[in-house]
Amino acid sequence: MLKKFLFLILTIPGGQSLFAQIDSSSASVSSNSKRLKHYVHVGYNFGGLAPIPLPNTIRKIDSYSPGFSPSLSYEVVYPLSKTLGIGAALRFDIKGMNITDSVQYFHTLVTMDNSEFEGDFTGTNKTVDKNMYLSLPINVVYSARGNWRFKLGFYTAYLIRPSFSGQVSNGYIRKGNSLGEKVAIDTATFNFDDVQRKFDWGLQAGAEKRFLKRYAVTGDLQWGLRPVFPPSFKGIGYKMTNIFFTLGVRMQLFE
Amino acid sequence: MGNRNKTLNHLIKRLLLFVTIFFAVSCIKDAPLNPEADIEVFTIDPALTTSKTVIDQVNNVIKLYITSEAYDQGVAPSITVSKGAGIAPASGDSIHPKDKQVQYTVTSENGVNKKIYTVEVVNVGDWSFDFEVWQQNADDKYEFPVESGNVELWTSGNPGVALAGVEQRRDAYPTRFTSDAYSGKGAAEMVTIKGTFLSDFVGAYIFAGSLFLGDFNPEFALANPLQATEFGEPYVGLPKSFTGYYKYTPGPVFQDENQNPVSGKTDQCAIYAVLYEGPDKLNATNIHTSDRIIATATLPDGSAKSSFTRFDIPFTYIQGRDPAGKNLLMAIVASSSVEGDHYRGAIGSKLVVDSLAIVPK
Repeated sequence: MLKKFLFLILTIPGGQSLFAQIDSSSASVSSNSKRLKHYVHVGYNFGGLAPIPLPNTIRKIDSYSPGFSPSLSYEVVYPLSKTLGIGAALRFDIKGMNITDSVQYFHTLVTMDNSEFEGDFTGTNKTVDKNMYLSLPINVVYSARGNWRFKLGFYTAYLIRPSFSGQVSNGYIRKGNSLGEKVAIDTATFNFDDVQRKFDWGLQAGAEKRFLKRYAVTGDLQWGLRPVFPPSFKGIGYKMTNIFFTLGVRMQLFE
Repeated sequence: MGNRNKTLNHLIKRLLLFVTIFFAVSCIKDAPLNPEADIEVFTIDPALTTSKTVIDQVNNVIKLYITSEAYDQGVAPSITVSKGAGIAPASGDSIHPKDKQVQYTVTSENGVNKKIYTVEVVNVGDWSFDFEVWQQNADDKYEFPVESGNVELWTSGNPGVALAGVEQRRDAYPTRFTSDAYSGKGAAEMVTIKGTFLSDFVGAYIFAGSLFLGDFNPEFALANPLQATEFGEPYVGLPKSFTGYYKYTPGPVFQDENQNPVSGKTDQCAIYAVLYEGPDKLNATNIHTSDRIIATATLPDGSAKSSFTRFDIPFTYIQGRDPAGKNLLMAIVASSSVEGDHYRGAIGSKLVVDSLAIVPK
């Protein structure tokens, strides 16, 4: 899958320049300012698949790291005027986190095949999330003074490789709910890879500051609006969405 | 130009708004009030008891083993409940189970949850068991036999199997009622069943049917399942023999703990009684090895029996262990797979027991 994707990324500039040619060939409307601009973005994602707001069953974040969470995208901006434009991109992300937290009375229901377990867990939870997404962000792009550029838009993403697993330890689970019998948990693992939704979408906003002719530093926030787990899934008692901030570098192509 | 600045300001404000929301909502909230409503400790003056009090958290029953004087006069237990919870009647209040049924109501700190515990005074006067009357667990639908007065002396691995999430149907569990009885209308049937998808995670690919005198302590059911089976009820006097009827059909394929079939090996059942020194109960980790064991009576032949077969096994007393003046407990255990405690056995092995009795000296 990854190989296929990289191939896609590498072949896109060719495809895009074809579009650029078509665009410039309709000479009557095109001018220099209306030419498509091409960018490559490389960045790193910080954030998490998190419930907003954090529920009171989460008592303490013991550790957090974003793990290896790169972002790579190819962006094309179509200028509408000197300051405004429309941007679209094909973007590849690993949105991940390694988190250890202490939870109290955390409700979970796990259904697999014919077996089902429901209860309230108190103890330590460790989650490793490493989802790979291919997304299509669309932005309104505003170029401001001082080599600034701002973006606001939305994205839709396809989950090309799901990975969401972890373990619970050093605690106990109450069978059914808080009134159920207490069962000590040494360690138990969970894996919710395949129950995740294939499509994600949300809002995004970004700011870019150009520092060399072709390079800029970029910051983007992608705020998922769609819970990653469908309502039918009860393994995690609250809605979680992808909320990630990408810090990166932009390079302009074909200048 | 002014227009452009306005738009710019707007965008920056938007961005700031995002960032602010993100931090504002990400803070750790105040701890929720405790929703738990357990009786955690229930203590009676040891001078008034014949054995340790049992808190049966599966069925919300407090099992008291008290002297006849204490039974006549009442007892004043000292009780610990979940943090912040309230209890009525209060800890330290006298209760008189002889006059009427005593129930404790525990209300959780958050006020939402209530749990009612019923007090049962246990006195195993009659050491013969016919498994005629069965009840069903309200939530999980598994069955268990009860004695007169609906006192539960026998339990099984069913509460543990319920944790692994089998279907909530009486015959989805390994231990259940059967009308295929030697005497009367009912007997106890144990069948070794396939583990569930969830139990596979903890390495349990089969569940052997089991039935034993004592309690199932769910606290250890996942961390150390063998410790969850707390065997035994108080026994007065000394036993001569262990008698009963059984029939047994081993399942077709014996498998080891890793689910590999073992060719040439046939499953066997287990039926045994152990007299040991209390007050702490033995469990499946030490029921055969503890140095508190005083006498044992073990079915020597665990092979197939197509029709009800009688057994009468004399107790073998271990030399050098003097039972005199000791607080004794009697365990009776039956299982459809003798190595079921190590998750080895044949799926489909079926044991039926009826009319079990301990014959005194």
